[in-house]
Amino acid sequence: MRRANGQIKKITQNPITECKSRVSCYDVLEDYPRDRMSAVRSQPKLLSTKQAAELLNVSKRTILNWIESGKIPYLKLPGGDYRVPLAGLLASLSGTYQLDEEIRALDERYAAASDADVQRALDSNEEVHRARA
Amino acid sequence: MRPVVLDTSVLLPALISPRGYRRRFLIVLALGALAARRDLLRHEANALRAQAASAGGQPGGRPLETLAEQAKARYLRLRDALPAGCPDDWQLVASRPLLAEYERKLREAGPRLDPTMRERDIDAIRRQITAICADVTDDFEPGLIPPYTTDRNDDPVVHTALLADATWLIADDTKHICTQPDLTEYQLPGTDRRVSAVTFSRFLDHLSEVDLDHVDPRLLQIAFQPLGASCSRRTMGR
Repeated sequence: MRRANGQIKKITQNPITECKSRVSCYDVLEDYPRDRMSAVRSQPKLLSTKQAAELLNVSKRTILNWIESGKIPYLKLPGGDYRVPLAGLLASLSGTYQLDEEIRALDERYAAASDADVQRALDSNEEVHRARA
Repeated sequence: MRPVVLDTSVLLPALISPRGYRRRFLIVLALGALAARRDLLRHEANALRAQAASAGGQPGGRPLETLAEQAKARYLRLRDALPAGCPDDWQLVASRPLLAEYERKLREAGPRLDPTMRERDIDAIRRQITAICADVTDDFEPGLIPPYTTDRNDDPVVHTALLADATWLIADDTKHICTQPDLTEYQLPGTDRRVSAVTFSRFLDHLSEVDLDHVDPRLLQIAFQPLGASCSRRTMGR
């Protein structure tokens, strides 16, 4: 069903996302130019504050704090609820956290660790799981 | 765009070990995320304005146009630090259940690698994964997805790759995911959507556009460095 440009549309007819396993989907904004789809397959997606919180594994209160302090982009709906654009949320992580410093600190700490070391830790974890089972 | 989905067996070594080829490929994916954002954030800004005009609502917070400019500047800075011709269309896609699975594995296996690994380290690594994602699929309930593998914990990564219509699912788990010697193919039931799973070493055969030997594994910092910061030897931790 087509709607006027700019209106939010819930994906309900897509056979992929209509899979029984789907428990929720993100709203998409319909006026996304279709000629961009080949270059960027993502569509602008809007998340509720609950979805944004679950995605980042933070509390809903944290998302609301970020909204109130202007740290992340949002759309305030006429009813007072908020929607957070997905790409904007992910892009805002660089300003909300000092990601480069976090990476530098971890790289210094694990400078000697090889891929094989990490793989061994993952494998030994699997062995423990199997032994328990 | 060439979406890829990474299993924990590839992504966690890429993030934790700053020395390997998996980390170097992660930097290529970070470039892809910045390229995607550079384009997508502008369209999000236009779409939000159109939404506000047609159905009501008020955009606010950090301006999407500013974020798009910053993504473009970060993209150019990282691109210039990478070998000429480095592709920018490989993009990491995840899902909420897959992010939760990365975190679960990290929480369990991390202390085996480093007994001093703490909650804040796990949170930081999870943030880095999320920041490198170019897109996130629609949500799903892991308990309700089809059994693709012999380990239910591995099914979300396969399902995510199918929902993302990924070019590749890259996994070094040869027991449950890459069970065939070359390609292991999975199909979303009821559709013709398929994805091929390969090990990282097999995937490298398909990554001919960039010589990962010439990618500095410390460049991941550059992708997220504040604009205006120089990528000096000191800031890169040399």
